Amino acid sequence: MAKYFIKSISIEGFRGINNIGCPLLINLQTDGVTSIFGENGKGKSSIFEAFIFSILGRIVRFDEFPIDIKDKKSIKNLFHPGDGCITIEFIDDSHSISKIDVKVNTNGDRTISSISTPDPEAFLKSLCSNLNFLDHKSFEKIMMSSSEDTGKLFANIVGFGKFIDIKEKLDKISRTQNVNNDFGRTVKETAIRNNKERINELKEEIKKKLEEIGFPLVGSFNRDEILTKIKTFINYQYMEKIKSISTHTLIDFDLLIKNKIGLTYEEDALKLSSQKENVETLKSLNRSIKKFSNKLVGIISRKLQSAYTYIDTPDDIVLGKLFDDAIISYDLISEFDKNTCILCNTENLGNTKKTFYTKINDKIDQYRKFKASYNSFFSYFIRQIKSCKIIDYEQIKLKHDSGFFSSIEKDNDYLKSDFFITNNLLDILQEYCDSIKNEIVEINASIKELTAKVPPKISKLVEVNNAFKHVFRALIEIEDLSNQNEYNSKYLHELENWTSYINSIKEDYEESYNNLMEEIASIIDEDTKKFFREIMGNVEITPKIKKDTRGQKVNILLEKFYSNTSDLKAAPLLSESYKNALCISIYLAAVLKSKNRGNFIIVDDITSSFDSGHQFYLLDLIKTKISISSTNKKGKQVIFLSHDGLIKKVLNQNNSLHNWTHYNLNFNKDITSLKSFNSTEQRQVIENNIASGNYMGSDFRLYYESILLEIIEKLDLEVPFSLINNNDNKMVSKLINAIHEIIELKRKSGKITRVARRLPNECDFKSHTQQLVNNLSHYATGSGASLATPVLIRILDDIDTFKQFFQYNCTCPEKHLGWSYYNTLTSPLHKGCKCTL
Amino acid sequence: MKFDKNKDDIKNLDILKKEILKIKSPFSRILVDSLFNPSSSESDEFRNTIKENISQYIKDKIK
Repeated sequence: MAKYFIKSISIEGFRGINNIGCPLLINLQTDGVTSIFGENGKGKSSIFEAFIFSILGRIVRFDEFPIDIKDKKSIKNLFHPGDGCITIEFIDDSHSISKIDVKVNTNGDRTISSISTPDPEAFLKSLCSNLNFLDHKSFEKIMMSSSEDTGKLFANIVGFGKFIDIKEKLDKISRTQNVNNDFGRTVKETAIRNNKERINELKEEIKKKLEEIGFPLVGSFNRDEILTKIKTFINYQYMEKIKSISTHTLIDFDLLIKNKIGLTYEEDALKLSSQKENVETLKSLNRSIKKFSNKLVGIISRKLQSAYTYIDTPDDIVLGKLFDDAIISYDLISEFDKNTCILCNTENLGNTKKTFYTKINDKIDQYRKFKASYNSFFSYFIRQIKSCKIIDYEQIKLKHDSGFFSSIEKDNDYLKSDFFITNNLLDILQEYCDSIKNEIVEINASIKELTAKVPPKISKLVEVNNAFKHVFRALIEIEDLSNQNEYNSKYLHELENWTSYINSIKEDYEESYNNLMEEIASIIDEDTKKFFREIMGNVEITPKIKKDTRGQKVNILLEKFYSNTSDLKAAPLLSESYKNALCISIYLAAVLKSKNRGNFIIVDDITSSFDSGHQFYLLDLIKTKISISSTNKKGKQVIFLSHDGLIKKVLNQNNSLHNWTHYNLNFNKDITSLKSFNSTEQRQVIENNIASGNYMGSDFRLYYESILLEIIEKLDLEVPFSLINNNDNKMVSKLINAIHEIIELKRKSGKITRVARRLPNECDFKSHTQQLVNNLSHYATGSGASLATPVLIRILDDIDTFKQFFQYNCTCPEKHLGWSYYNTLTSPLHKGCKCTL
Repeated sequence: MKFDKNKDDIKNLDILKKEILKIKSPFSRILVDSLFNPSSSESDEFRNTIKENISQYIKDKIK
């Protein structure tokens, strides 16, 4: 699979970069490091974000912004007319170029187009993740996350993010609760259970009915035996010719009995029968209502009280209802003034501590919690009144909707917190029970009266007919419920096959994924140890990356912490600087294993929180082990952005390396530009500044420092990094001292005999540098100098004269290099040079 | 199944796909089709797809 590198980026009208009509073009070192130095406010972070926005389509650090300060309109440069534009060029390892144009409109939305790439959106999506971009905030997260999240992060960094997606997907579909919800497993299981209970109830009813009418069942419940009894009864009583009977046979018991008993007794006999059924129904209703006990009222009441604990006053409910939807509009309409009411447009509603939006948001949050808790209470309450058949009673006995409980069920308003205090439900229910009792008494009187009118034979026949009708209907219901149970059981059986299948896939997958991550963790562990040591030196601290045996948790430990050699959690023990060094070590170790198509990392200000000195070791690590080069083919293209003044000089110095390009950012209100470092060019810039009167005292100091660093680099002088500290005023003298010391040491050891006499001696150092150091200290205040132009040019010449102590004028016809630095002090001539020193 | 740390995730997911399809079960095809369907890239979308496809399969089978 092709690996992609970023060849160039051009930016106009994006974030802090206006550059109207003159896009900022940055050509990047695809086979090494590109560093960009810019002090705060010079557009460095805008460059970082231009990479992220064009590739990922968002500003990653916006993800963590509170919603009320996230304003996408700031993505396009506010002062740039028309759309912003980023053009980013990728080059793959077979040198094909993909050029993508990204337009940014005033709403901060991105439109992508490309002539070279057919589906640029998919192309960008396939390149990398947000982990190819690192700033110091995001790398801190490496250690300050849970071990579970660290594990995910590792998988993402090494380019196995899709494995996490698969894991999450398999987890989601195999989770018991989700299976229950998605396939209605619990509902089906409950239905089976309830149906079985109902079937048993119906069987008991059938058995009882048949016994009451003198047709008892012999042995256990037998459907065919019962159907035969019904068939025999009908054939015998009504002279019908039913040959075979099933639950699908159409039998009109009411018509049969009407025809049999004739008009004389029809009305009274049927009424008698129905009255008897009514008494049974009412007795059952009474028993159910009595189940709604005082204890149950207490439980329900406490649930209601608990919901009300989420809000301060009942008015919060009114406010919550009003603003519940409106708050979503606030979030959607980003430019809406957060101190203006979206409903009535009243302005200036916030105060110094909180905006109106924030205050409302807090209240809505409370209201939503109240609502969730209230809904739980209410559904429980309704379930109870339904299971106690209270609603049934009201629907049967009271006019529809006029019942106390029915109106609660239908009312959309919230019950007040004191509802159970102001309404005595048990009194209401007692009234219901009394009313049922009275009705039973009345019906019994009617039954008595009707029994006197209807001859016992007819009355008995009606009773038997109705009993068989009931039994037949019960058999139909049993069959229906049994069919439902059979279907649900089969469904559950197949579902069981699915769940065991998916669980076995999931387990197998997790085991393989665990093994993979364990291997990766162990490789990362090795490199992390190595990188940490390179950044922090040979300290008595050794980190350890260890994956848990189960799950995807990865622990960041210290296997050695001074005299302690048992594993300890790293995060609570390490100081800020060590913690940062460990985070960046882990990140770089992991990123080297990345399988992403985008073979680059873009890092922004990762050295800011480092102690003096360690950032140089980090740069060295990036140079030698992380960045791609002819000797490190598995490395990454590194784009390194920094505002760290401490490393500015080293970055300038690195510009002369073969696989390192360095730029300094220049900035004015409208234009951001780049300048690669070169001492000759730097002198030209200063001379131009002198000519136009725009020079600064610090220009001379910077020039001298650059020359001294160039000498150290070109001659490979062994000076300690620790000499570079954060006191810029002393930089020049410190560098001179370091150069002086190393030359004296080599001179005394007799290793530089060929150039020993040409190099500056102690007197030269003093005479050539003392005046410069004095002048530079004088101008380092940054204020404008008052010397005449020839004097200023002379300062530059003095610096260049000092430089020539470390150079020779190559005039041989073979090389003819002109003034150039010695190759090294021990072997000063360049390869092939025939000059005589 | 065994994943290879030296291969990228696309190649490794191919291994996963092949391993699932090796299992002689009617669910294998449904799972693979849903798992690698671009319209089910989010886990919630995937869950819905699985819910629909497995429910349909079961209904057809017990019809």
